[in-house]
Amino acid sequence: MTTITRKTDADRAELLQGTLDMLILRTLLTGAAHGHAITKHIQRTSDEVLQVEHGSLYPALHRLVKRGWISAKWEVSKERNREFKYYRLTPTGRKQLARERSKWAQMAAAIHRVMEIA
Amino acid sequence: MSDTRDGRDGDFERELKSHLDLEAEERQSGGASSAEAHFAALRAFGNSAAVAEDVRCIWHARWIEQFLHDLRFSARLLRKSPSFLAVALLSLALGIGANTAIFTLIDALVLRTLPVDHPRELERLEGYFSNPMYRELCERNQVFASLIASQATPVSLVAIHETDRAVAELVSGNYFSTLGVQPFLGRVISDEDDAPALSHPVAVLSYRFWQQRLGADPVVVGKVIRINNYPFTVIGVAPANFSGVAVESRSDLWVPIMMQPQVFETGISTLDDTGNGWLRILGRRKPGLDEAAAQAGIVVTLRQIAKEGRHKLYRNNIDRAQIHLFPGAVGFSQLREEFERPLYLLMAVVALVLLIACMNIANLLVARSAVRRREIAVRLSLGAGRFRLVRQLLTESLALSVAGGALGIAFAVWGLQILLRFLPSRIGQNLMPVALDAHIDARVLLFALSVSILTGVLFGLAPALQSTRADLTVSLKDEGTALVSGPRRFQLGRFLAVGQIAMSLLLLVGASLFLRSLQNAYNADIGLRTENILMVSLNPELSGYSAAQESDFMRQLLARFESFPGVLGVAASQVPFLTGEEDGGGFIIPGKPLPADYHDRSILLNRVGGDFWNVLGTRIIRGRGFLPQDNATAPPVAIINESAAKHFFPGEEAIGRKVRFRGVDKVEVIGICSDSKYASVIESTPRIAYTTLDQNNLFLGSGERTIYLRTTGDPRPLMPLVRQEIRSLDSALPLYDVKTLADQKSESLFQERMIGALSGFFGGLSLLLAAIGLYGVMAYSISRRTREIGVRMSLGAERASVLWLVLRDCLLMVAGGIAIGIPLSVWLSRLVSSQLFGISAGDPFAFLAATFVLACVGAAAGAIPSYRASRVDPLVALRYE
Repeated sequence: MTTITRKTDADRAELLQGTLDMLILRTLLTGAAHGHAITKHIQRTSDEVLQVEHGSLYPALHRLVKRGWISAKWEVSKERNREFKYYRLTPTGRKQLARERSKWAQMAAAIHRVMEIA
Repeated sequence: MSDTRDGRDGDFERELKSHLDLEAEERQSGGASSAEAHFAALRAFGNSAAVAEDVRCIWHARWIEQFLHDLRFSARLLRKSPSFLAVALLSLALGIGANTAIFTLIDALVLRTLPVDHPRELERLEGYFSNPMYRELCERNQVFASLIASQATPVSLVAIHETDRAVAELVSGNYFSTLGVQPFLGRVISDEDDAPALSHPVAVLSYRFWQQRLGADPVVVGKVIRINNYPFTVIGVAPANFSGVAVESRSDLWVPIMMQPQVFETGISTLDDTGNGWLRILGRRKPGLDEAAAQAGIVVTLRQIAKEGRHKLYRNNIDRAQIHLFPGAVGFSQLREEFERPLYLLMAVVALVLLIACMNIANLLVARSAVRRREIAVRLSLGAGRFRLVRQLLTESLALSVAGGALGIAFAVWGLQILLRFLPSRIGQNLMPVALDAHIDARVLLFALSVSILTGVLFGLAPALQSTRADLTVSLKDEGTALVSGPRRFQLGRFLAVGQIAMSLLLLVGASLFLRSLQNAYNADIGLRTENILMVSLNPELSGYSAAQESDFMRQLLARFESFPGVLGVAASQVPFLTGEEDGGGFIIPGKPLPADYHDRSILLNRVGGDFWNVLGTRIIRGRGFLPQDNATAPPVAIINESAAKHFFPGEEAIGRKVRFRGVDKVEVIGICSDSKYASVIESTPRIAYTTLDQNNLFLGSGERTIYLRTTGDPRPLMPLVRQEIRSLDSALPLYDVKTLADQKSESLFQERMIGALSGFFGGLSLLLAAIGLYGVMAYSISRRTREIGVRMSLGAERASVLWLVLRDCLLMVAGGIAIGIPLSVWLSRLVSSQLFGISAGDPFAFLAATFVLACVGAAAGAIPSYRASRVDPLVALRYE
């Protein structure tokens, strides 16, 4: 297995908590996952730019469960024959994801326009 | 996932462990040893204990801890803006205090139940009943387990040495047992004491009376006291919280009904008189019966008894004879009947004032939260729940409102004293002294707390919700650079200001109407002279004077008063004017058919003496006044007023006619006098007949006398001299009130004065609050538009046009408020037309005056910030961030 290289601190972007929620929801769109897997997925997909602090992951997950946007269940993993706590998107969570997505897109577009205008 | 605290903790431990194991595995596969891998995983994770704590926090929202934290935070924040704190606390204290004071009165008069057993089972019977009717109703009714009768009356009492005035309540034998009142000392009146007449001169003292006038003598049982000069034996003392079934008059002692002839001032027995209704009846319903059944049942019994024809009061219209039942839990109250509606009116007024104050504070909060906008936006974006933030802002509002409420209690205590001073000192047919037990107790405090909390939520919720709307994009913009004025979120402030102005107009219109009404009442021509007249009331008969002795005594006294320096004339009457008391009777003209309605054949009576016509200003129009020849042995004579003459002798000459009046035949009408009021300023002009006190023996009545002294100047300095003079003739004779007739008139207008004064005060207060609110809104709006103003001026706008631009904004709000307020006032003022005197509810002048005052104040409130805006240096404005 390759060693996991980490970028320097300067390049690591700080992730606002609200955005983290959105990323978690998006990750779960493709299927159920446990906490560790979610972190890895975000890291990989963002090409190591986004590093999730484990200290903020679990509070975020539990908060999302409390809000009813995701649900949690202990299940036996197929690969490892071990129990993990799997998280899934709920229908309300799906709607919330759509909402956050469009808000984010708006904001990003706005910033982009400002930056790109001569 | 388990829901218990331990379950969740255990759950997270497992989750954490599985996470760390995975992480360690990854590292191991990268070449680290097992121990190294685990250590690295743990380190990479960070502070697992802290994370566990965070997760725990999410599930167990620590309400109390967070609440206390919010409180401390709010306190710190409020301390930083002392002017806001002061304004908010003051307005809240005034608003909540006023509401609490009026509620205390309402509670004491309308809501509080008697301290008796199962008060909800009691019913009050409407009206006054004769003793024989009461006894028959007791025996024959099917719906009440027991009926008790009572009536209170003032008496002269000698407890130890001095003669005093006291209130005695005549009660039936089952009074105490039905109410479930146990004696504190000795025993209470029972059925044996109630028969036969005059056989049981026993008395039960009230706790307060026993403490205050008898020094809480432990061996009081068995002592003899003299009531109206007749000996009574004290058999017991009532418990401390019981003072009878009448709300505003505290009974000092209770005696059996059968002692009535000794206890009533007239000395005449009414015990067997079926034509004299004087008892009030309370009944305890039989178990299982409701009010409707009791009402139906008692009416049936009444009609049965009436049909047998033995009762004079129920000879006519038997089939329509009625007894209405009212809830007995709250006791009897004359004051309540007269005063209930004005009290509710006042409650509405102060509720409105509080509402206006709330709107003010809401506005201030909106302005403040705009300053904290960035802080709130950051906290929201960091993931603070909106609910959590709203909770914190609400805690701030609640802390403010509860603090204001606590301060308001102090205001309420003071306000209650002022309100109580408006109450008359005596009320009712027999002028019972008013002693209302109104004080701040647990119920009132609960009310104040509830109002405080409600207020806090009311003014805090909208601003809290509005300022936490998660508009992240807006927070990124620098607020001062908005070139277009009036962002959407500011509409709340303008809306509130317009609402305040509308409500303020309503209160001002009300104040205008009530004050004019009061003025009309004061200036109304009542046909009596009220300036510079001193009146003193006494009752020689109650101290044992015979008719001849009393006559002598009065003659001496009047002569002495006449010789006082500065006294222009002295007069006397039996019934004191403008006190609400009345005396009267049937006026029957022989040869003419008798009007069916009792009211049409009745007339008020006052027996007068001395120089009555000159002193009190009623003029003899035709015929003659009383002369010395109209004495005890001469034929009975009377003088009637114009209204009486027109009513009883339409189109004919009344003088010389002989009528039957008050049981006396051939009373000759010798004169006609001008109309005047009798018992109150605002009553419709009554028909009055006057007879002379010299013919006292012929026209029987009570022994009370009131003497009037007409003086050249202020009569008050004469008061001690008058007292002294009476005491020199008879030192033991108790005097009732010594006051001027002008003061009596004032007292009789207590409702109008109270409503006028309070509506005026609160109208003014609401105007002030609305002005402050308007000023605040204007100042804030201008600060938002500073850049715009700078731009306009630098583009060449005149200062005047800038002034107009801003002022127009303000005037629009004022106009809007007035536009809403006027139809609202027109609609609501109709509800209070019964409280008005001499002015209609739609009086245009009142509306115009209120509108004008409001417009002026509103314009002024807007003018100041507008003027300041026009003086802004354009360069400064453009640089404003």
